[in-house]
Amino acid sequence: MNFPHRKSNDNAGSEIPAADEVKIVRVALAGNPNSGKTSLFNALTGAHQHIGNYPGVTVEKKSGHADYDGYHIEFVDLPGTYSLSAYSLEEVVTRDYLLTETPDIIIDIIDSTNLERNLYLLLQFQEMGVPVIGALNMTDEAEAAGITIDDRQLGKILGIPFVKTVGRTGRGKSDLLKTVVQVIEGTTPCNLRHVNYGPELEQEHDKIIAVLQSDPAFTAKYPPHWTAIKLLEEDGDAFIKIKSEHHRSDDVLNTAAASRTWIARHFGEDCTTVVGEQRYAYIRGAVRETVTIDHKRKRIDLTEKIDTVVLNRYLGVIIFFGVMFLIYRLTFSLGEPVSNVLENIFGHLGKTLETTMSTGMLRDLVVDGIIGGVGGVLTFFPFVILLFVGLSFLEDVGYMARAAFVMDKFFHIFGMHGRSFIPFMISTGCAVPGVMSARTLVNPKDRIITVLVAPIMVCGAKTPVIAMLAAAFFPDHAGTVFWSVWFFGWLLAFITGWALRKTLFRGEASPFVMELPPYRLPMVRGILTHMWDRSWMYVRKAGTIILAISVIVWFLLYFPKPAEYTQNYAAMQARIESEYAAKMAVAPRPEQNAIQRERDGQLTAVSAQKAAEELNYSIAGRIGAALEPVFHLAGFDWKMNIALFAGFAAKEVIVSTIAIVHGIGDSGDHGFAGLKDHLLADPAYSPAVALALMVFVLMYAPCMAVQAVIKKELGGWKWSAFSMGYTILLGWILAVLVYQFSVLAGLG
Amino acid sequence: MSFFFRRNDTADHGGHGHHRRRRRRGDQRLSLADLDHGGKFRIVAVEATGEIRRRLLDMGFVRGATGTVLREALLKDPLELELMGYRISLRRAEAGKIIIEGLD
Repeated sequence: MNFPHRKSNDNAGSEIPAADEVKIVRVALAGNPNSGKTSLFNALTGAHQHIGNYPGVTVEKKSGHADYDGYHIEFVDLPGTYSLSAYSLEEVVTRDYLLTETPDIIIDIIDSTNLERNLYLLLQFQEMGVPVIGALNMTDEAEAAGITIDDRQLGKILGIPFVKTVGRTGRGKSDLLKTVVQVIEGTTPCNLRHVNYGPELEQEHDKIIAVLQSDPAFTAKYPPHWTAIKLLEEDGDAFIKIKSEHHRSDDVLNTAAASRTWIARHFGEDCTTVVGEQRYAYIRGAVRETVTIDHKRKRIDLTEKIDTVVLNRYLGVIIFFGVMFLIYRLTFSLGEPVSNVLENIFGHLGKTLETTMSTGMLRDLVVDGIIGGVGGVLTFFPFVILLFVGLSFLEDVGYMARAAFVMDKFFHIFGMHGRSFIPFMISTGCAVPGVMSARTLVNPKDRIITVLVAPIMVCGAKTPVIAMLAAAFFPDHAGTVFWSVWFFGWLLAFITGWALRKTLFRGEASPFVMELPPYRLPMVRGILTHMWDRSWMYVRKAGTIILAISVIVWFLLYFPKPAEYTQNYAAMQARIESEYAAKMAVAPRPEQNAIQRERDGQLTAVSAQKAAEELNYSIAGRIGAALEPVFHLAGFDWKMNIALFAGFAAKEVIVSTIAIVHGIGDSGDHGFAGLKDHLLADPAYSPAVALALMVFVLMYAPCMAVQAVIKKELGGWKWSAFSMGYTILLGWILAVLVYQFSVLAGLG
Repeated sequence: MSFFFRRNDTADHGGHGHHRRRRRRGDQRLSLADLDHGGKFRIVAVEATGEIRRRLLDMGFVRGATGTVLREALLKDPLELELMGYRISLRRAEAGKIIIEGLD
């Protein structure tokens, strides 16, 4: 239930609901980025918050409510935007929300120290035909800077109420709620009149409105003032709406085109610019009348002082790497112990269930499939939390924009944006939070490229695979080989990013027009909320998908079971049992332990052989065999193919699967010495194969946790499929090249 | 009272007076890319097209707006500016499309 909205007269929202009805008011909080929107939202709604997503996009939607004076006021926190020109995802979301959901009131949160640019957005809200209240936020900062705003005079000029607020302390909160109620009850005038754009523009604007009103259904849906202005601004989205929904679309578009041509000729500047300039001219006039700046106040411009050091041409780069290293180090050194604890818990859980549940498929599914898969992924959880704490801190303090500033040129050479650095860096730890952090990129193409390319880095899970192969086949240069592969990952990510930009995601490099907000001390609550939101999403969303994929991969590795085995394993085991029982009977007491150990070793060897046979018979085993002709070119045999197949679930599984296929048994993380010797003795392996394998593991298919996150971040399985497809293809090509050249170089 | 950092509203940067202006040969007009740090400017025209033009407009790069070039990153790109009392960064390529007149 909500109020009837968008009236064409000036005083909107004056309809008062019946007294016995629950009085609900729907308020949208909007404003520029860095205007303190989140802290004001928190102050207004307290603990009554709910987080979701806008339909179809990954922009977070926060809502909450407050009860005031018999009204139930529902707030929606719209994403921060500079304008409503449908440039970024955030702008599209804000605009669509305002057009389709039509809230009763918009509260525009304004950074009082930056009035001019902030009012530019406010004027656009007014044009949308929804009552607007201006919250002059960060009033304390403005006062300290000697900026005094005459809010009443400003309100008179713009025809809407203004309230001075400080989001951090909650100052002005009840004034704001009171004003909301007053506007709804009609006791405070809230004018929908748009800016006076001057006689020439107004004349053309009225012409367009006259044609627009020939379709009352259209003007009832989209406010005519707004549509007319957007047509003058050559807004692509408005054109689409006219074409598809206005029944005299040709007349409207022709009239608008004629108006734009006339204005452009009259002003000697294109129409879009004229509209923008008129808005700014109007704002400048209003600011001149209402703002006084006390120039005598001593300026303690801390931001400038800090930037002199932090953004210094040379020092800036060093500080940047220092900060990144610190965040990275803190995350992985603080996260490690917690991660180990989680690993132990899941290990114990698995062991306990293995002994308590009756043997059979269900037990195997729960222990190997679910606990092994989901548990393995959740052990990365502490890293995700810590990384996001660190990144939220940097973002809130104002450093993130500076980091992008420092790195932009380098990334720009490869067709990417400075902000891509953060996802890249994090992915060297784990690509799951790495991909998630690509959200800070505004341009969708930049975001897609970064998400597709960041998982190429050597992450924590690829490390054991590459380290094992390097140690086994290049014993004298293991470290050098490992780090070469590590840097090769970075190089590949850059080159692939550049290639994607030049081919599939062609287009103008997105401009680097980015605000560098003043440094501010972050609020603990903000960081904690941020951390909680992200972490919860990771557990919930990624968790469900990962569970499903774990079960599928387990199924493929488990079924079908051979009806007949090549050897009678049960008989072999029974023979060993009886043989050793006989030995034990005659052996003196001190030797019995050794004999028992010998027996256990032989029993394990038999069950390992059995497991290997089962694996070869399974669907995954058959896929491995079927792929042999293709991967033979890279030097891989079917056993390696099975291990690589299992690696779809998680890369660290590759090592243990190689062990299983070779019949050594899943000896756990500590039994790699035996595996190394085994591989060295195996003629299928050579240094050339090891190199090709390392390169393929580096490149191919991000693990399922990353797939799940890619799906979520880019909004569709097609992106996960694409990232899997192109990395496998590219990985295969590289592996073949590496193998063939290594063989030529005599490493075969 | 909360702790915060303040921005400055007009440009005054520790006496860096040496804002030399380099003129491009054959073109008498100055662009933002021609200014050295510390240089103050007033925008005369924005010659970018398409999305970038609209973006610049939204961020306040309009005829008559004034500001200061604050600094540049390692490879002289991007630039940091002060415009209408806030800080913004631009790549040199974009700055080259903003025609200005120097202020002293």
